[in-house]
Amino acid sequence: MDREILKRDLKELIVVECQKNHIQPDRIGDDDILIGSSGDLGLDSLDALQIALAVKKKYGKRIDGGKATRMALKSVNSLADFILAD
Amino acid sequence: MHPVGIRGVGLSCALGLNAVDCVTRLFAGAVVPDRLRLDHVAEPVELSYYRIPDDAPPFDPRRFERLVPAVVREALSGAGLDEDERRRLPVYLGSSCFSIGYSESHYAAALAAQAPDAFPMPCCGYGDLAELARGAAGSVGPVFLYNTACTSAANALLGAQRALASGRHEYALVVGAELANRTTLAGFSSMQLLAQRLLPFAAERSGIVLGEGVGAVLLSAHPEAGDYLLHGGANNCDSHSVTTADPRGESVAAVLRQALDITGTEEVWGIRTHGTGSGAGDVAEAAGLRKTFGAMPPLSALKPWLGHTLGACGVNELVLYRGALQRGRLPALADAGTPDPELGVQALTQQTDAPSGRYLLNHFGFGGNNTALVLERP
Amino acid sequence: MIRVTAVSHYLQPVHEGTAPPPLDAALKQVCQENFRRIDRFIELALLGSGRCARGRALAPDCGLYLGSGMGPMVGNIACQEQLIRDRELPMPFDFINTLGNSAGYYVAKNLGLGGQNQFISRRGASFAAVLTAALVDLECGAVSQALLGVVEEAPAPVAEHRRRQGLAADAAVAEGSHWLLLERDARTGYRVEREQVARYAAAAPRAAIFHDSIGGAWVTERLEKGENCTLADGDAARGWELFHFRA
Repeated sequence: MDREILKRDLKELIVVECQKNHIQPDRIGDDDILIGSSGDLGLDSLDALQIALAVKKKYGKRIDGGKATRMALKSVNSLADFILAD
Repeated sequence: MHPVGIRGVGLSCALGLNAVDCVTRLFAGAVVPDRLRLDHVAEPVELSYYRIPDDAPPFDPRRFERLVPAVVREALSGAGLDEDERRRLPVYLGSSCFSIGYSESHYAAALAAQAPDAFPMPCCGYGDLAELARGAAGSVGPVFLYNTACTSAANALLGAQRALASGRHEYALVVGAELANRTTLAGFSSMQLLAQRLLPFAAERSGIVLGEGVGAVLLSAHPEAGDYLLHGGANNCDSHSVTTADPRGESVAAVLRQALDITGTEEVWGIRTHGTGSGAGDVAEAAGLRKTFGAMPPLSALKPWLGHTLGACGVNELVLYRGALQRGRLPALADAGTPDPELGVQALTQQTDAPSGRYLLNHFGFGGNNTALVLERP
Repeated sequence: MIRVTAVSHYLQPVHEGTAPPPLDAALKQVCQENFRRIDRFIELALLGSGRCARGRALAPDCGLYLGSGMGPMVGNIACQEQLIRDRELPMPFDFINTLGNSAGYYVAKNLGLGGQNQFISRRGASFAAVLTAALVDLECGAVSQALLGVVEEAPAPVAEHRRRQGLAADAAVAEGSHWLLLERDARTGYRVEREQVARYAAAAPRAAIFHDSIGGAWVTERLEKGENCTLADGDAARGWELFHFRA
């Protein structure tokens, strides 16, 4: 899987799933903090669940409540790393 | 505010198939929830769940057709209502899922039969369960169906109490109904809110354990000597988050304060907490309790016995708590876990006496919906 | 004396093959923020309640009473398709919005309400149910003001929705959002008076278009036009309660 295409698709997934309709996907920085009121995107824990389930359905990789997998949701880069890892 | 009398009760939950058995079991030690398997999803989910011991397949919605009439008959037995009084009975019903199991079953069957016109939600609206209740009671009275998540049945009780107090009715039947169904279990799994064990206010708490329960309460506008009294209470909401109340406890404290003020309650001898064992929910409740009470009354948490029966918990737990008060005792948890210093409250681990007087009942739900009721032991 | 001090009425026919009109522009006029994670049911609730409350001072104890006969449909449909048809866990946003009071949460957030927040249903007569609950609370002093309304969706495909409601194959269907603001001790506005009768014959002319709360639609349409009206609630078995709205 091409990493650049994956990151682009993930940005679109985030915008669509979280209904952030006024954000252009390509305006999301690869290292922008996704979750948290002090984050760059201002998403919350409910958004995190939505993204996690969308990622599971699209890429077959499960993000559960455990700390290691929660780190995957930190940024688009960490999400891409998580999906590409074996 | 004009209190109403509790004239009869009925209950089926994990503790048993009638109110007396359920209350007896409440004092007979801890309950371990069952295990339930959601196995028609591609990746089966197994979870802890408090099942009603009715020997029926868990996801069969026709269980309502036995359980709802049974608790209604139980609540009406001994109340001595004549045919005309039964006909005029209004029904106030609270639930989160209502009878969605029928829609699930019909849709699944149509898909399995490869029916070309299969469509989702073939059975909709919230009215089926109230019709079962009215049928069992012999009532043609008006129906009020409350769907405010975990505060549904509590709001139904509040609505009924106010309608009786205003003179609109002589009696009211209030029902709480929640049975296992695929949508609720799958939805809560998807939201990662579930845990193996339910540990209210404990440091080790990790989420809720769901349960099923169907309960009924008959209220009278004219309390008699010896009746337990429902004085009424308050409901409010906060806009903090679509899943929980504000963790600082402001809206919780406000609803507790309003419930006490509106009912003229000065002293509270015990509190039946909502106590779900969820990370955020317990924080908001604990903060609100500490803002409201200097000296904390004894806190009971009932969900470790019957699970979180969601929209029905207001009625189910009222029946249990009143049953405990009738025995003069507040129930205690065998294992309340380690106290969480950040919460500053803990549920009872030793049974204590329950004197005559007033008690507070807490309910907090999704969308920041909060309801508190005041009960009096005569 | 309890009076109606504001009304809003939204009734939109829904036809085969065409989605109901987007509400974004209309919502911008009544919403304090651009809410996300909301579905059509919540949009209809925000629209109707927002229009009703626009320009009015809402009391700190203003109660919210939202009703619906069918409830949130699109979210429920999505959950059933994901779960029963696709055998997957439902998406969190879809599941949360199946609860009746998610809409109440957004309405409260939009209008700055912190008091009572109820969702009450009665099939075919949800408007009467929320009206009754609001009047009880106003009369006993639990609230001084009540914002009450009913919302019904007409989700696609329309043919399925007709079958779902047991309507004829060619019945006209609509989505709707119908609201009243009631106040105790207001000096102007329609008076709301109740009357119990054993028999009631006058049939209110019903619109040719259907949704489960069409009774509520009829009332708000009349009041918006400046016409007195009477809503009848009940049946031959239990008798009738008449709600008279008189200027």
